[in-house]
Amino acid sequence: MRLTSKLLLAILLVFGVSAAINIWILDATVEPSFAELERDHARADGRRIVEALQREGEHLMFTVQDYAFWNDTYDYALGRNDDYEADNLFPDTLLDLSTNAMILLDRDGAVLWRLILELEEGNEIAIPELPADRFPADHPVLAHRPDDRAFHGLMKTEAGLMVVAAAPILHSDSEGPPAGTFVFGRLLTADMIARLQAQTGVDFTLRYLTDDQLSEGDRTALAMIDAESPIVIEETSDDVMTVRSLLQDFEGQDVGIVRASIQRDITQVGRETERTALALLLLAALFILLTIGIFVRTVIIAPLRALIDRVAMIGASGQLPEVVERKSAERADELGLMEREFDAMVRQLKVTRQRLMEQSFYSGRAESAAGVLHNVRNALNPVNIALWRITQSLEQKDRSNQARAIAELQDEQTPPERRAKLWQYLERSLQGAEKEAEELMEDVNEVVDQHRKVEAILVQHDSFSRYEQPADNVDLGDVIREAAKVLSADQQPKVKVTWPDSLPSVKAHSILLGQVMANLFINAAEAIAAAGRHEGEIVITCVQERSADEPEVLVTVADNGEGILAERLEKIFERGYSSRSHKSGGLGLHWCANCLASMGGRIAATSEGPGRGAAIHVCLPAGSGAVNEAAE
Amino acid sequence: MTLAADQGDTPRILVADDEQPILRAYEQVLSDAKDLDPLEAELFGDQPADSGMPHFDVRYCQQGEEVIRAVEEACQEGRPYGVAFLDVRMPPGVDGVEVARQIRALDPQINIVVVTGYSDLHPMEIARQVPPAEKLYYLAKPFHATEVQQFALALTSKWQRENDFAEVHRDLQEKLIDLQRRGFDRAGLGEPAD
Repeated sequence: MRLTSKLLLAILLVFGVSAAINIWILDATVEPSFAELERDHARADGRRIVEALQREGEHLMFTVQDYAFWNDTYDYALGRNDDYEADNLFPDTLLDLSTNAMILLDRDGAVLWRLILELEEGNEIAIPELPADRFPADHPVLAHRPDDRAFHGLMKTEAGLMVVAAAPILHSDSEGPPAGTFVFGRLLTADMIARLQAQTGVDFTLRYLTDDQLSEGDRTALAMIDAESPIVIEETSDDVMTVRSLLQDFEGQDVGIVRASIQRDITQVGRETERTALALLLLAALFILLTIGIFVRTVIIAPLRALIDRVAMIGASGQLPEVVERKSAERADELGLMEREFDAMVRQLKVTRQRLMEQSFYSGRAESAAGVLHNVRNALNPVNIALWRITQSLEQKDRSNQARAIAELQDEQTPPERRAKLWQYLERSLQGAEKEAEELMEDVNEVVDQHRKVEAILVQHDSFSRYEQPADNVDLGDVIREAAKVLSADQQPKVKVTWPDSLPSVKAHSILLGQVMANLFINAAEAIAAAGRHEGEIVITCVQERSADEPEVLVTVADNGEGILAERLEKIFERGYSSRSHKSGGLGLHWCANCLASMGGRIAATSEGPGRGAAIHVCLPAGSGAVNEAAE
Repeated sequence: MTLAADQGDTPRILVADDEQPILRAYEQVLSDAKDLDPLEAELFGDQPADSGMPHFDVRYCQQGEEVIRAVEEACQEGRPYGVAFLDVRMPPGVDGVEVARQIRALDPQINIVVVTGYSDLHPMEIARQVPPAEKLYYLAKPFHATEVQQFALALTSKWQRENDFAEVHRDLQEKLIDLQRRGFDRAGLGEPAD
């Protein structure tokens, strides 16, 4: 249904826009913040690594300081302590300190004592960068060692990157001048790196700058690293960030790169959250669409459709159906209200239409009846007068003078002049009588003429009135229902009328048919009363006969009244016949018969005899098209 | 303004109907008796039989406008109609009630008989529209000869009486005014003149 589609489309649009806005907000604000956060963390990690290495150096530096700022060591460096070596300088020292190299140098750089071990087995190893006999004056350690304090730094060696801490050998009170140099060195071995990794919590690797295993990323980072940004972050992929930091030896030379791959957990979580939110949004959208779709369909569209169908049916058939009890009309919402208002409107329309039809019928009838009356009265007027004249002239005339005249003529005594006058009188009298006869004839003709005129008026009215009443498709149910109202509820005896729920339509004049039915009902009620019953029943049945060229509908009105004698069954339709002359409740069966005949129908009566009730059978042409009760 | 008719004048009657046969019927009814043959009178010395119907001066009209003009003329000539028989419906022209209204406006004295075979307007309604009630009468079609004769006779007599009475009334008024002018003392009535 288009209404539902529109609604669902609107909702879909809302969700779509909402999702788009969500995504945009996340991409524009949340994700960058997450990414920034991630970078900060990565930077922190990078710093931690550098600081860890730094601490290693510091640590070593404090250790070397302990050894270097010692009178014993001072004396030893000046050649004055023979027990020192035995007391302090042995492999265990290194192993305890987890240090690879321990070297003591005199003022000139000559190696006083040297021990370099690998810490796994404790075997000695050689590191060329830490010479066995003498450290040249330009050796990085000597070049950078201050005279009053210890220092540390990184040194690149063949064995790997080494954390070197060196201190001038001073008196225990840190007073100089330096007697020599104490050096500790710790190799950044895999083990140590592992330890540092565990310490920092960062998985990092160390790469020499000369390493051919430097990656593209490494080289790019090298180019970017400077004093302001010592740590470089590369967003290697959606999942991984690479942090790089440069390692310099204590000469300030770049020796290596520390590289750590960090999982981009934060942005990953952010992305997942975003995806989850969108998925939930989609789910919610689908759910809402489904719910609203179903709701709209059942609560709004279905009743609307039903109403539309009903309206369409009314439009197609032109018949207003009876208002039927429907659940949908009892709803408290706007649709229920609409249905109730629609029903009220249909009822109103039906009543109005019926009244209009009746009014136009009766006024038409009244007008033509009044017109006929007027014309007939006018036509009869001269008849009245003519008849009066006829009576006047036929009244006993006083013929005594004529008798006297004849008598005098017969008398021989009468003088001749008088005789002549008497003859003249008699002649004139005769002429007068002839003239009177002529006038009488005129009057009689007048009566005959006017009589014909009246007949013509009535004939014309008859055909005119028949033309005025076209037969139409009529709903039998409606007609019967209306006609049944003629039996009032409180009349005696009580008469119940039943008829089938579904009745076909017939071709008839609804008002005339209504009057015929009302007449039949009145007759039936009178028959029931005459049978001495206090209550009776009129049962109406209907049969459709589709045979013959023109389909017909046979309606039977059966009552349980006093019945009709067999020899009277045909007479009851004659004019003026009434078995109950003292009651004139109806128009008469003769009128009904004429009326039905004018509609192309027939009427007949059957009865099983006195006291067994009677049935009147009315046959009418079937109507075209079906008029059904509103399906609901 | 209607002038009182002189006594002895033939009463005038106006008849209106759109149908010729009905006008003929009126004519037959309103005509007076045939005069007795003078010869008969001479031979036998009889008096003419008195039919009871006087001679009427009857004017026959078929349309409403004709009627109104007739009344107008009669009033101007000083010989107004005493009775008018009006059909209620006289198509195609103006209908009888309207004609009655206009006649009444022209002549307050004339007696109007509304003749109808058409049951559209209630007699009370007509009386309301064409007062005064005592000068309005109602006759149903088809009418009887005797009904028309009686109406003609009675109403013309009544009309004559009313005219006579009006004249006497006018005379008395004049005399009274005259007396008042001349003073009651000299008339010997004993009342001082104010």
